[in-house]
Amino acid sequence: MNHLALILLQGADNLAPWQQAMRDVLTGPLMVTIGIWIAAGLTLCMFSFIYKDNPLFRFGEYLYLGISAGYGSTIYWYSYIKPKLIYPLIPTLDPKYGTPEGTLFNPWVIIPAILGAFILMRLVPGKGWVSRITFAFLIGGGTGIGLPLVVSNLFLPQFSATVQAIPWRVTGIDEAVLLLNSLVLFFGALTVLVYFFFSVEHRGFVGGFSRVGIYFLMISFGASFGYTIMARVSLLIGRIQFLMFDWIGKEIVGRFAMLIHGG
Amino acid sequence: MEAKQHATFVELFLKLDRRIIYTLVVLAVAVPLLIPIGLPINVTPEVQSIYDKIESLPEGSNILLAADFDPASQPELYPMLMAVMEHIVRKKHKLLIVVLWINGPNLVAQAIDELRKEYPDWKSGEDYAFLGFQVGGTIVIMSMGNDISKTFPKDHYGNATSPMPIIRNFNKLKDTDYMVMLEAGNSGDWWIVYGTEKFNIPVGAGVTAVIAPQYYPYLQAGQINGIIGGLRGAAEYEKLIGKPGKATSAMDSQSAVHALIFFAIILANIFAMILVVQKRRKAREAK
Repeated sequence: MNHLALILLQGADNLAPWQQAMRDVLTGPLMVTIGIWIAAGLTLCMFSFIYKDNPLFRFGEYLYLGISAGYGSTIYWYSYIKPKLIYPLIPTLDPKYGTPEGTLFNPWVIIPAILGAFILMRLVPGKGWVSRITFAFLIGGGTGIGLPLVVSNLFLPQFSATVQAIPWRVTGIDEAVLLLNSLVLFFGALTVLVYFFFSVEHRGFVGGFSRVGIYFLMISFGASFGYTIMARVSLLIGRIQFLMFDWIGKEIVGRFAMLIHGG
Repeated sequence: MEAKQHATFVELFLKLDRRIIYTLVVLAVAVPLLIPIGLPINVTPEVQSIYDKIESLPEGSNILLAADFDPASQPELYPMLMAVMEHIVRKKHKLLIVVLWINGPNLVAQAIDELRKEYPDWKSGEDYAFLGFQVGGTIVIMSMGNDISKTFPKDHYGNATSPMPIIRNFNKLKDTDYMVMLEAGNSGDWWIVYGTEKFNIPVGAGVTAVIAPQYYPYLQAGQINGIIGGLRGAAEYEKLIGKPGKATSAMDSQSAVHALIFFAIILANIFAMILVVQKRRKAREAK
């Protein structure tokens, strides 16, 4: 099972002859055909939800979740836990032990390993508090590293672009359009910020200002909704292209034609 | 009598079975795929600027490609990946490909296999290196700022990266002449905050349509130089490199579905307004 996972998932070029042969079979035309039929069947299972919820849809859904989790775990195990935790602690387990490429003993990896194990303590009744140590480390470290970068590389450039983009000197129609665009952007940013400023009651002038902010937000939601429709339609097109051309076209009609013509 | 029949039709339309709408959507997708209309595809400035940047770089420039997506976004981002990679290969730039999404590497490997059939001289380790997936997100990006070969000791195929010729001149993020990030989520934000802004790397973004609006502020601020948005953006890039692919063939279907949804929304609103007017009239008559 270990070898099979390595052959399929790692895609290693340095495989033994028998592993290479196995990989050729597993990635060869027969497996491609089987893969297309399974993919087509599962696609139809998922589409069956359009009619109504049913066991075929649930089968496809759970299978997808299970395979994703299994695939991810395998990758983590072979690519990270073994080479970055187990081999540094017990180098003799590394197949390349004794060669220049072999892993060297590194006891420091025990610290992140213990912190990682603390998270699993959430599964032990009454000991869940231990995981807070790890989370405190993660949140503290993450905030410490991230905050200065987020402020300098995200917040400030966005803020300065909102203000600096206004071209105050207008010499032609292009500059006039740019000025209008920049003013709308600036005004929109300001009104939306006022809408989210809850320390002052939204009445009178502030209320009117925040109401304009709502309209800007609605326009932005409309743009996002339009793009979302485009994205979902793209996914549907991808699946229908697959069903029409890869499955029906190549696997059904193509093979039937080959059968008739003796190809 | 006539008014009653009219009202029934309006009510029937507003209570239309959703499965009829789904069928119409499927037909709007399938028919143009079988009988292409060939609607024109105009290239937007956002896509053009990414193409122009890659075009303007001198041969052998270092390009970093982040393919942060998985099969769920394949219909939109895979054609984009193919088109951008082919452009880079044609211009003979050096290419490093990394993935921050665990389910993404095999899609990139598939794209590389497809390209290598067409460009057999395109050599792994020399012209390109597919470094695969590395766990850690922002930590990976920061680590790449110090040493790429230490961050990715082995490539996707299990080969050591440090002896690779491409790594000699491309071992830190700051060695990057241009970056293209193909994003289906928030890892694009990570690249900007922890990578491209910090090391002053020009970057273009290819994104799914769902997240495209989030990237326009970056474009406005000059933090990215272009956006390839969704399947439409991929079709534009295919047009620019002169090689129509899956995205181009899907554009007629996309337009047909958009038209269908547009008219469905308009009709539904008109009928809803008619229904309100009719109910008010009935209420007045009843009084």
